Amino acid sequence: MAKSKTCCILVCFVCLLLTAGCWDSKSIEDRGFIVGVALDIADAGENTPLGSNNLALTVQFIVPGGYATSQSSGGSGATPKAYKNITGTGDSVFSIAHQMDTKTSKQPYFEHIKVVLVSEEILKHDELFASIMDVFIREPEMRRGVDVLVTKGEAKKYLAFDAHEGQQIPAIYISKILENTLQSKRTIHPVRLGKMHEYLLGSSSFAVPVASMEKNNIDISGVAVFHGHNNKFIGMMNANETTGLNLVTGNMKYGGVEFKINNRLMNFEILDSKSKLKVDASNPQQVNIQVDIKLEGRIEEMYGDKRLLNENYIAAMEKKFQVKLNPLWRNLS
Amino acid sequence: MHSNIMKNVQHVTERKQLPENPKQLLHTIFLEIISATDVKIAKTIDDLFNDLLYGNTIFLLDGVDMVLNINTAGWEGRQIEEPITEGVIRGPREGFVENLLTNMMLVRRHIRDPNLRFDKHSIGKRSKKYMIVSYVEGIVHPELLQEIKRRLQTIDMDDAPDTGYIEEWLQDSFLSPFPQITNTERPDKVSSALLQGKVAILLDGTPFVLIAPATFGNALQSPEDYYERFVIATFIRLLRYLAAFIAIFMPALYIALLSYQPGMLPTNLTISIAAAREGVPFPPFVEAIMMVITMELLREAGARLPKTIGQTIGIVGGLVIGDAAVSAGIVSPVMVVIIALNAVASFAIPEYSLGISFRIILLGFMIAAGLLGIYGIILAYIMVNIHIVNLKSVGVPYSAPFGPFFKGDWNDLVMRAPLQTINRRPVYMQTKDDKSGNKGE
Repeated sequence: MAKSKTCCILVCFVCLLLTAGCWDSKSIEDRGFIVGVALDIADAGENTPLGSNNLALTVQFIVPGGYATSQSSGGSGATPKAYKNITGTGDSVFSIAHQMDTKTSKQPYFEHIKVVLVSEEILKHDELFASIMDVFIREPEMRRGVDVLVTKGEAKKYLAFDAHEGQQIPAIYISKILENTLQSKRTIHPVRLGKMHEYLLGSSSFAVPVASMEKNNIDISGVAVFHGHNNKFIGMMNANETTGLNLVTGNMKYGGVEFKINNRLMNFEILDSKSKLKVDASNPQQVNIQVDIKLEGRIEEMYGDKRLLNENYIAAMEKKFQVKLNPLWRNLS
Repeated sequence: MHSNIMKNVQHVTERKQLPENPKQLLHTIFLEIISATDVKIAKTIDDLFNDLLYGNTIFLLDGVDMVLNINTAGWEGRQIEEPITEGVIRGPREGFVENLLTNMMLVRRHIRDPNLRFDKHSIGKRSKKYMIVSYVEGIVHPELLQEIKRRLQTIDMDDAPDTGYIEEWLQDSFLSPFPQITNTERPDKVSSALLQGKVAILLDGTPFVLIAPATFGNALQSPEDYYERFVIATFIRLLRYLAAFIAIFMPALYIALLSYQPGMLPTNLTISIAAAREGVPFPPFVEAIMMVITMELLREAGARLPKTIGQTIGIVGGLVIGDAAVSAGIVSPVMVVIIALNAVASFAIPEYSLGISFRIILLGFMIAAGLLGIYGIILAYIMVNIHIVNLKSVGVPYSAPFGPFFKGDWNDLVMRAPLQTINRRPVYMQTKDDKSGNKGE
């Protein structure tokens, strides 16, 4: 009697498993892999739903068939593009993202996002940037390793940019540039979403790399600076100022410094940099900050044929110029 | 028979004086005339039955109530040749044959210790085949031997054509996909098992010898490991463990990652696989099941066909069918690659029975992956793990050096330490004589 009862329960359990299982199963070719997201303020002409925000979200899908053929055929005739951009407008990022469900044949899948581009128009509105970042941080499908960039001009254009470098998909192209910026002094390290989360919650100011479009390529140099307390956009720093920032924060491990000695150019490559900040806040009206920067490197390029014995001290002086370009950006309080 | 008995007896009548008394005559013949080595005097018919059916000659003399039982068994048999299922690259190329005496001789040649015992039993109600239980007294744990003998007493069948029958009677769990008793065709494997304190069972009429008990670590060992140097042997052992992993998990991982968690693949790989799967009509699960079944069919077919055709069918069939299926758009090329890799990996397992059991488990994992993705694989793995840990092989835990952790046995498990350092018998066997070699004397 007991035996048939356990048999019964076992059969019920197996049936449950078979009927309820694989509810989550979606074949890989039915998913649309999203690699890049661009956020803009929508033009006034487009339909403006209720609410004061007017966001335009562009997502970039990968078309796997186009990817395969354009790799193999090498661009003969009318090759299908390897990506597809779809734009939606609305109030909140989440609602726009769900509009995508009805605009494409594949189910959008966000886990492969590589880069999030935010146009500088959005930065002009208070709190909009932080609010936009919120959905990317909360949604479990978005990963913490996604890079965030601020773009000059319309972010949508960056997702349609063909750089003729062999990489068919603009979002992946941009993320590959970001890998190179680890070794750059003209911009800071790429800011990942996880780090962005920390910044938004914390109270120190932070900076996000800025991308600008040139004729043949996308240039990532300079940063956009945000206030620590209210996450408000303060301003942009150009490449030189960012170099100064890197010097002060001790992040300048690569790159070089050009200077002139005896009217000849010399290039000093920096291999290691350390910086020390001393803050004297005894008088709240006038706070003194002393920055000690130590740089280690070697002479990389030299014009002329002078010998190098007693010119090192001149190099130190030249660096001070660099630091002078660095505005007081860290707001201490 | 002819030369030893008939000729001698015929010559006798021409020779010397023979005693008149028939009984004495028989004795004389027994002692002096018949030149066979194994001659016994038997009194009752019961003694004679088995032996007569085994090929002995019975010499009856009129007027005497005793007979001579002469061992003249000698029939055609297979030559000693390389074992078919367990070839090695380096090592002895002798394999067991069907004749029991020859097999005993092969084992005895490896272990010339007087403590090596061969206990004769008779199996099968109607076949009355001879079965030898062999062990080294002084090494083997006495309770183990007792338990095996007890189980052998319970065997109740008509005939045992192969040791597989005896294995099914002896084993602990008949539902488990894992074989709990090793079978082998190689004398060197048997002799090293005997020296480890295990018990070997030889059966007349089959070249496959059973070795009990067996553990999971044994299944992934091959005698070749000991004939090569230890760096090579360790590397190959690790490769075997990797092959076991691939043989069990690969198609299941494919199904789970494609259907449920494509976020776990690198982006480029995801794009390649998605591109390859455009237009394929079946979901990954159905695709995988189809290919696995096709592969199994090919393997079975290859085993039945004669040698030369069998090999070609396996390779050519696999390639051609796979290629044709890909061109027709039924399966994706990635699937063919994965299944081919899987098949190759399962052939790398040295023990054939375990290779088959891995394929059964593979099917289970594929179903679990198809239902619940990676979570399903983990659940199924936990079930298999619990099962292995609970499994016992004649009292010895099946996952012995892994499960109940015996530190001293790990030098011969995943890696093979230099032979100079392996100087103890396996701890999990609890042998009476611990040390091998002359250590400590």
